Amino acid sequence: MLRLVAGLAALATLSACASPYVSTPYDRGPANIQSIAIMDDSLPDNVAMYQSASVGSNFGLIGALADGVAQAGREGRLKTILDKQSFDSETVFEQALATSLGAQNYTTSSAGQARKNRAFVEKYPAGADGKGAYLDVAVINYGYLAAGFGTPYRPAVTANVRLMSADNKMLMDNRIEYNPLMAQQGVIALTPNPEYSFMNIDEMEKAPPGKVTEGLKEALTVVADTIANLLK
Amino acid sequence: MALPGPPALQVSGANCGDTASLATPISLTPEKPAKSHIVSAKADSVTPCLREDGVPARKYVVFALPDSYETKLITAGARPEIGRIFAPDVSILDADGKVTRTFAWQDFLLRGDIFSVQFKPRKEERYLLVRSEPKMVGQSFDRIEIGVTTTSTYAAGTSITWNTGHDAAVKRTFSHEGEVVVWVQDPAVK
Repeated sequence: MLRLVAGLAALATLSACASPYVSTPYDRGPANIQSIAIMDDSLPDNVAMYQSASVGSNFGLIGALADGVAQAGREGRLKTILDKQSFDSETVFEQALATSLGAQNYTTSSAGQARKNRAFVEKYPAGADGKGAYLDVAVINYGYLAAGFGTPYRPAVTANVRLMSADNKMLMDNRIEYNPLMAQQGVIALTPNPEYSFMNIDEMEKAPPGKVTEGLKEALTVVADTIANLLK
Repeated sequence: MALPGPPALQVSGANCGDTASLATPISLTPEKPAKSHIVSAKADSVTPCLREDGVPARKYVVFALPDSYETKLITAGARPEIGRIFAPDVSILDADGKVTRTFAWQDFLLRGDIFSVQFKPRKEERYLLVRSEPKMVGQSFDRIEIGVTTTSTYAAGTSITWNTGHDAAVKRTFSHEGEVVVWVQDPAVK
């Protein structure tokens, strides 16, 4: 958990001064892809509930440790909320992706196996013919994010996505952030729906049933729609 | 630094041409090879305008695509300003001014701080025409913008840094005037 806190804090700090991101836009005409296999295990196992500029973040290691404990507590309670709604984030996302790609006239299937980390797949399965490709979406984190103490938690998703041809050529590569903390130049920045905001986990627990999961579902669906639109 | 004006919701139509002039395009070729090269142009009251059949008068800016196109990635559109954002409509033209590609409004996304479309130029393409989109002028471009502010103070011989989060609903209106931006990336340059 401390690694996650430190990792996300480092990401937020570095993204503002990192080199601009270079994407690879998709050119549908020459590529002529008609079927897409969606690689499995898009989402991390655990939902996040992260406060970036927390009070603890200003007090070095001791503050970071306290933050880690607080974050773990919040995330456990958020997971309970999702479990009560039987909310399966992975299924919601991959179904949204298949639906959106279908609307762009692609036939879709799923492929692959569990990833070891949130990186792109190292070796794509055989089977796609010349008109098929693999859509690899590696969601780095998803959940609820607050900029700092006293600001609301809003749904957030960070995803890397690429489309690989059957002969291992990269056809498209992009990064998408829903509710970005500091959008890096070149990264697609999607604004969150203001309807879904909560000041803390207590407010989430008291919210009408389904409200918290609706916010997550909308975020995941908007990211899926954006990916499909990039492959138009 | 002068503040931007209010959103321009109409173009008068006086002295507008019926085709975009390609005579003096803004060059997108940097003085020397560069990994990243951003060119911006203000669309304002003196920017040329177009009056095409069936389309309300609108502003336009023409850019000349980079001399060597093979490795370039172009991000073209508009940068949000206080209260407004230019409503971009991007077309790519060949050497004769004929349109080779256009983009739907749904193709525009905010990439970093540029509301844009993205493409790799093709061999036959020479110009980038960015016009204001009358159908979107006057519509809202509302966003929730979050971030972290770091402040540093020095007291009693100690430097103290404090991070605070900020979260704001920011409203802007699409406009015929504003900042048009084209970002040229060349990953082949080390």
